Amino acid sequence: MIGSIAHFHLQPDEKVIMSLRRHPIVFLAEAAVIAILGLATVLAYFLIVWYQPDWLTGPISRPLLVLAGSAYLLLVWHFFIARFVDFYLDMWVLTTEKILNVEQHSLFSRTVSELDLAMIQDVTSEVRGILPTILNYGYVHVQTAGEVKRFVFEQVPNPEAVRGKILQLVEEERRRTVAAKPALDQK
Amino acid sequence: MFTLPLYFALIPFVVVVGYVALMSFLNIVHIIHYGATTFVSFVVTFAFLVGAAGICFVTYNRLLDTDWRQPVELNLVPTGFSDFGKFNSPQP
Repeated sequence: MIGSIAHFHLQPDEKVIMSLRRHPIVFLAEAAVIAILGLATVLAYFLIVWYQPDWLTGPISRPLLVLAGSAYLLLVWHFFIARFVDFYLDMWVLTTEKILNVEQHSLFSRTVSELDLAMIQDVTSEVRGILPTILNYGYVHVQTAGEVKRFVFEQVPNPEAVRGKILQLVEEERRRTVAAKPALDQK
Repeated sequence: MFTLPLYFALIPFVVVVGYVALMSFLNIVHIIHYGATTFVSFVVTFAFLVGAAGICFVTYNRLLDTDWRQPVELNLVPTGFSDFGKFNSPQP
């Protein structure tokens, strides 16, 4: 976790409160689909055994089938690591000063944006669906002042607690700002 | 009808292997660059490399006894899918 956060430039007195990724079940669901795609080769093998056993012994058909099956499995396996990278490099970091939003759209497309806590006006958490309700994961929408676009924490674990933590940090940030203002005015 | 040696079938396979190797390398570089210090990313990367090596090893093992120089008859007019397993080297 530290290695991921080390890429972001934090202020000297800024502390990381929490860093979040999507709930692991999101990746496990994708991994299950990839596993099914991989197991399709086993199904294809048995179909060939039942309907065209000659193909498995032919001096030309056999190597062609092995090459095709191997290429297919390598592509599926590559799909697995590509999905993992996409899952793992999407993250949201909550610090005492701001929220960092890192989105890995594809291998060559990455967006890092940040939002000052002082800009936050409204925070909404949302859990929708049977599985998200059972496993307690969902969305946290962060609305900023004067901005149409919202920051969205997607499919993060325990969105209610995340929402509460953001609101608490926003409140602390406002108190610090109010406390610092008279001192600045006196100068 | 014309004939080609069987090793021509390796060309598309090598293209796929090259593509997978390149993209996998880039994905692993991304993991290392942005978050390699976690146990989870290490385990997943290790499992991926072991799996890819396993697929390549099994493929190599299954193809050890293949005569790659044997000619393959290619008929531009389809003769039916069931002929696939009956390929044989053309008689001299």
